[in-house]
Amino acid sequence: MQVYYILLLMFLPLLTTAQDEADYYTLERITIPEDIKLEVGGMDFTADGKLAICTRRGEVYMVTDPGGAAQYALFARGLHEPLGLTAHDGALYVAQRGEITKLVDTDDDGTADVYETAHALPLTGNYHEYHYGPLVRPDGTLMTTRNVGWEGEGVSKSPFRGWMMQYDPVSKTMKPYAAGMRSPAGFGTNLEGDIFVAENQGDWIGSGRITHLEEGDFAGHPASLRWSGEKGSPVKLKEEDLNDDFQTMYRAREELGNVKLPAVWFPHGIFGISTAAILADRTEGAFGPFAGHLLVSDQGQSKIMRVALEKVDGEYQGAVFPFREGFSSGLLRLNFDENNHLYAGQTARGWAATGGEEFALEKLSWTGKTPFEMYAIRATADGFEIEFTKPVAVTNVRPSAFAIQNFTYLYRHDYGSPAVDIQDNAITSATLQPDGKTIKLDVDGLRAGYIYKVELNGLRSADSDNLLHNTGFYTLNAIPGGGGQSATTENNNLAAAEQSAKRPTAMPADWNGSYDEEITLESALGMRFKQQYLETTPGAKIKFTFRNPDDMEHNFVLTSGKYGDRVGLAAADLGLQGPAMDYVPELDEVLVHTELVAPETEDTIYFTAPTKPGTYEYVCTVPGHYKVMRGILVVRGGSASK
Amino acid sequence: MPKLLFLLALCCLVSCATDPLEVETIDVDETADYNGLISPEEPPSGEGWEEGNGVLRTDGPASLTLLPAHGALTASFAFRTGDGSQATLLLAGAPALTIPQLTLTDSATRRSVATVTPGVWQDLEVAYQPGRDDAPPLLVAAYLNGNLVYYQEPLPEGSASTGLGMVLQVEEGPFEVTDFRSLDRAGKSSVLRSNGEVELHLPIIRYAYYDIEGTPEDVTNWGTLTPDKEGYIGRFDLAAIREEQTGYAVRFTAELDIPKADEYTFAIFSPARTRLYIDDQAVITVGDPDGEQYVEGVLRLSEGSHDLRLDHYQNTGWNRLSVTYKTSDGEAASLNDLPNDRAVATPPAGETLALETDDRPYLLRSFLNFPPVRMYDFTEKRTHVINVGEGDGPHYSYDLQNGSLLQLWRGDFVDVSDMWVGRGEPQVARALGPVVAFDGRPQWSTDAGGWPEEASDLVHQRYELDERGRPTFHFEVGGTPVSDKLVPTDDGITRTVTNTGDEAVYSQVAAGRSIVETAPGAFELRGPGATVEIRELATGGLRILRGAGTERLVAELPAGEHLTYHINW
Repeated sequence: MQVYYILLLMFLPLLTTAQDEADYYTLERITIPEDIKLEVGGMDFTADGKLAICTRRGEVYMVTDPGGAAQYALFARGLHEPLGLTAHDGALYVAQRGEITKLVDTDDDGTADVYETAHALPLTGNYHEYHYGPLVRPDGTLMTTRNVGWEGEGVSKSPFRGWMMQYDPVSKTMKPYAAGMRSPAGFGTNLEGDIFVAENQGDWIGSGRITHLEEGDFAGHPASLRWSGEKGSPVKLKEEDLNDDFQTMYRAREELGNVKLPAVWFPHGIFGISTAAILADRTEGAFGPFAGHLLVSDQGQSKIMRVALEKVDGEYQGAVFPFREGFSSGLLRLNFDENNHLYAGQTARGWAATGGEEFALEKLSWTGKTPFEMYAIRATADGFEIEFTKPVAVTNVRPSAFAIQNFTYLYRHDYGSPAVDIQDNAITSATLQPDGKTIKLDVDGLRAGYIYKVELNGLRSADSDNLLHNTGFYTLNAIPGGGGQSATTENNNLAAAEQSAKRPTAMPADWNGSYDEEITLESALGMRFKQQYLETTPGAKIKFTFRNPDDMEHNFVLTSGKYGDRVGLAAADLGLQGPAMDYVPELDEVLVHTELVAPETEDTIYFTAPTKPGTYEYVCTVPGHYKVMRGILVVRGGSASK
Repeated sequence: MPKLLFLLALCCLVSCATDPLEVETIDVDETADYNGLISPEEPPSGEGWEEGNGVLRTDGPASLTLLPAHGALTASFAFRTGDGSQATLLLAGAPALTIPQLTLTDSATRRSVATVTPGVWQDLEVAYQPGRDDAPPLLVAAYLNGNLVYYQEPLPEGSASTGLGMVLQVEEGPFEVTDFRSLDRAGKSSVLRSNGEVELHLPIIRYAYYDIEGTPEDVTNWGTLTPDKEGYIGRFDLAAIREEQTGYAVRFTAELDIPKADEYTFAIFSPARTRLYIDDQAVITVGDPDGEQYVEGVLRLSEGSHDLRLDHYQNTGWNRLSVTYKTSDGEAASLNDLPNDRAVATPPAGETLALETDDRPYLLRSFLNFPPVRMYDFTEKRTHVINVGEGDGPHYSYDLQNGSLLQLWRGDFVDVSDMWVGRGEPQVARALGPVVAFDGRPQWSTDAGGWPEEASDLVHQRYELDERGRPTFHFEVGGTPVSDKLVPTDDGITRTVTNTGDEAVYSQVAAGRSIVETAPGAFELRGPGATVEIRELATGGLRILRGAGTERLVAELPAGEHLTYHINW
């Protein structure tokens, strides 16, 4: 008993200071009737306070009192996978696959009786040709975005695939606005009304990101440029202007001019795997201390991140921070209600999300308490200024309380990119500014065109709060005043990688050219292994091939038992090194693994099955995947025959 | 009908114009798609049959020899029964299908609930492969009105007593037959297009499957191996045949018809060991150590039939087999493989997810494979389709890009498993009943000289739901506003097309292989089989645009005019 008492005394201080995101923002599930598959594709509040939701099955519901009794009424149905909805002008505008549709209830009976085609767009029939929006501009025009198709790479085979489009309902004309998108599942505006578009990792897209789009911009994916010669195109670049030789977007911009650099990169697996909704906090403080910041949701990791922007040399750049995780499904859409509660519309069908549910609708509310957080990071000529939400206790303000690394992503036709050219930045001074809330850091080795991981350790607020989150990533496209090293003069081979000892790609010489068994494992669309049960015999020599016909990267990691969760969790903690390590943590529980296998490719390894009969879990350790993408290798019976 | 007479009378009294139901026939430059089937030199004949306008008719009992003794075969014909008619179709002398029940053998799996409607023309197509060694003859496929009814079902052997022909035995009439076409191959074969282009296609492929023990470098002792299974298939579809991921071999054999002598380049992509032989001559070898996975082979082929053999040994984990050809001046094209960039109709895999109808019509936007797919044929996608379902039907699929009524069916509504399960990549809705499908050409035109293939001047604007939830579709054709409404009834569907603008436009009523006027305002269609009855048309006029193997009934709609007609099948 005494032991427990001592233990309790030891941990008491920790317990009292432990904090949770839920202390500041509470998450509440909104009831969905059992017969409704609320796979949210788009949502918006109507003028009378109802929450209008369109689902991927084509239904539109009006939810009355969503924060209370939540009554659902079917308003329309049968739309073709609508992925965006906006209440405007007494009607609902929906982006379904083949058109922007205006839904009108002319007789006020609560259901749409006119389905008006505001604008139809051509399609090839490729499933990946998704359509998002519309976003209403102050001039009444409607912005939409169009995914590229997927044929093992992003393709633009129908007009203006990969573009943001602007539709004028008065003149009934559609014009191409900006190019270079791959999977622009969400876009929104900041307080100034500037448009930001979210992008997912993929071919030519090293990692998730948000980009400020102005008319005529090219955001990086070349397939869309197939249409840049068409009438009305404000983009002049050609598809053939782009190649892997630039290595980074920053260099491509230096050479080509019109390549829009992302305002903020979201490191893949760390700050999401599939950025989606972008919503500015317009609550003027009613939703907490982050008024004006952008909230960016992530479908695959069921969470929200926060972005604080600034303008340097007339262009946006800034930092991303964690905000709130723990949503129940794939977080695709965000909206504030009139009482400044945040509603989160979610779906995970076909793209599994860490939340685990097929779909969900949840409400996030501020508790009124202000967390001690990095409020913003701003670039200076010599380093960074970090502003906090509360006054900082001066005692811990010293360089050692900060760690900064910088890195970049490859710009290439391959799928995704590891974090490359990682360098540490020495911090030469840390000074608390007169406002008591801002610390100025002088930093060595600043490079424009790099992303800066800023990690804090041991800082407290003046009233002794710990930081709720201690990491942010700042995208430094430009250094104020134009200083720093040029990114173009060094590192001509950014992509060099070492091979892991646990990925034996050559057949061992002592197998004498033969093996006992050949196993082929395939990914299935929707973050699954096609085979979730494999069988072998103890000590069998196995030629193992993992094929990936999916449209995202996966790997195969065999564990030494029922360690799928342990290995999957450790992989998520690899941070920046994750992609370069194929997301394989250095753990004894990892027996063998493949590389990170790009879409439509395969990797073959040779290994000897465990000699001990039993069950061995295998997982894909790409962050967010291991919970659903897993299977077991059963080693059964006597030893192999040869 | 009284309403019609009244309108007719009113029309004559008021305007003294010509009768709007009078049909003008205009020859147009339009040709039906050639499917490789041709009329036999000896037309079908038999005692007890009378011929009139190309249609053979009997009151039965009577027997009609469609073809004398035959081997492999694809044949199609149209037939029409009356109440109580009964017949049996014999293939190579052996009883096969009964009509109207479409029963085959007791063990056969029926793929569709397609039924024969008395009084309405029906299209039947069968593909037949004779028996060989120990294998019985095979009904490769049977389609009624384009709906697959049977696929790869064994048939009894014929006998000398019944003869060895394709014979229609009518036990009870009346029974009418026409449009007989055939090809001496059990499936679509190569064709020479009128523009000189050659399209190669293997009608059917025979395969022998071998489970290979151990992991030999190569398989060369084919002659000594005993197949684990044998059968026929429409394409080099490894996934449909293989029982293992790796360590198996398949020998494919087929007849390759060359319609024009030329130098042909064949190409194979395979991550395993694959060899192509034509007339026993090695053309391509893939899988040699240090060899490429993509290999081409060129040879000159004379016009006529050639033996094709493809030996495939799967010794790797990646099951992929691409086979293409090109002529001396053509582009590379698929030779019965499953190409990445085109969808092929393969046997259904997943479970059906039926979309139930309720108290209001369900209007479902989707992609649609259209025309209805043939097994292992390429399928095209219509991308702006709305499927409208109500009760037990009739339901319909409608193309919002060109205003055409694509297909009609009764029974259950649609299967949405390809849209709502997983990512739903195909995004295709499938009718859950046998369809009657039209030709999918645009509904509207401002010019009646010919009929447009593309609806370039047609813009879909909206659909409005009435109090029962039924849609009226609104378009502009060349700037003229028009509308379209379909109402399902107990005996078909009633359609009203309206010109609400100031300029005359043309609207198509129906299209088919043949359209015959049976009474003023009443028409019979073949290919597809249906009846059309004009119910309201006050002014304007009707025309049949007659092409080669295709006829189209169109109505002129003056400003403010509407046309109401009824379709049954």
